[in-house]
Amino acid sequence: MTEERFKTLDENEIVKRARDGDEKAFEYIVKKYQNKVANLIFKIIGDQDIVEDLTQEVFLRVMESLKDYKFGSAIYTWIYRITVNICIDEIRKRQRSRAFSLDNIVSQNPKSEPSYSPVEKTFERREMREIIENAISKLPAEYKTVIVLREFEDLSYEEIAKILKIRIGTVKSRIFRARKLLAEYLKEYKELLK
Amino acid sequence: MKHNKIKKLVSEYIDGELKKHTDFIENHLKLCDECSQLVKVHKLVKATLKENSVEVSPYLFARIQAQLKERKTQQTFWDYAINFSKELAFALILLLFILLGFELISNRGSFKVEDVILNETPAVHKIISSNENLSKEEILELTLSNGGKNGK
Repeated sequence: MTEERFKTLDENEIVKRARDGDEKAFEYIVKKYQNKVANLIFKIIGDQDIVEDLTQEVFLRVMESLKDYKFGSAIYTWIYRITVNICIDEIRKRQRSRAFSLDNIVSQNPKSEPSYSPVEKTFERREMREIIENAISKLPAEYKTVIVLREFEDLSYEEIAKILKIRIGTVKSRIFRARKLLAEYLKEYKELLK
Repeated sequence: MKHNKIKKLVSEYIDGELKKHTDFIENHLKLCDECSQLVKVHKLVKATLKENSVEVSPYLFARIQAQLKERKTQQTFWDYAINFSKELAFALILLLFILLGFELISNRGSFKVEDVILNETPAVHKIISSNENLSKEEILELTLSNGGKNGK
């Protein structure tokens, strides 16, 4: 019902309505982007246990900062920016409290992840995925963020630059460095890189 | 071209963001293992990241709504507390100004005790202003006549 009402509307109009207190408009925005936001968080943080809470935090912040939204940029750019900022805050918080252990993430992932796709029923495939996930989790937060936005979200350099509020040149070099680091981390698994 | 520069171009080529030198990069990739590894890393990372996805609970929006209401209630309390503090501070400042005003007005109507004494006792005034040039007799006479105020 809600979807039908807003499907024909321009997204800026929906944002305006949400800003003016239309709860249904805000619900439409949440439901449209909630899984995208949740997956982005999952890919950047690598811990499913916190995905729901952080997704909630993203939309609370979206709602609270609707009054500051500038209608020039696409809404997903703005929502993703809030998401990335929350993820970086979370990573830093974990690093500060020293509760963020890479070993933890790797050991948490198998129990918290959703079911595997049919092609990865073999142990080797699962093991390979764990190795790559481990390598991704070792990346510094700013490299991890760009690589997730590029490889998972398929965003262009320009879109990534807008989300992170950095220059396209910086996006290019961060992606390049992230790949170089990943190749470093995966060097010992020669059969993977054959 | 230096190999590090070529590697950067390979990364852009992978992402379809390279506008020039694409033929050169394609040829280079056939020969260079190090750069081919970057392509392999990209494919592996992309495939791994795409494999799993999560879905939020259907109650997420309800939770967000509840949280927003809670924050609004808290905000209302704090708004009230802040407004009350502002009003209290304003009232205290106003009271302070009123008290200062009273003090100023009462000071204007006040008088110096020594001035009154000197006015009422010209003998003392004259003795003090004589700079000790008066004799004992003159002082005695002034005191008895109260500086001439008694009509002597």
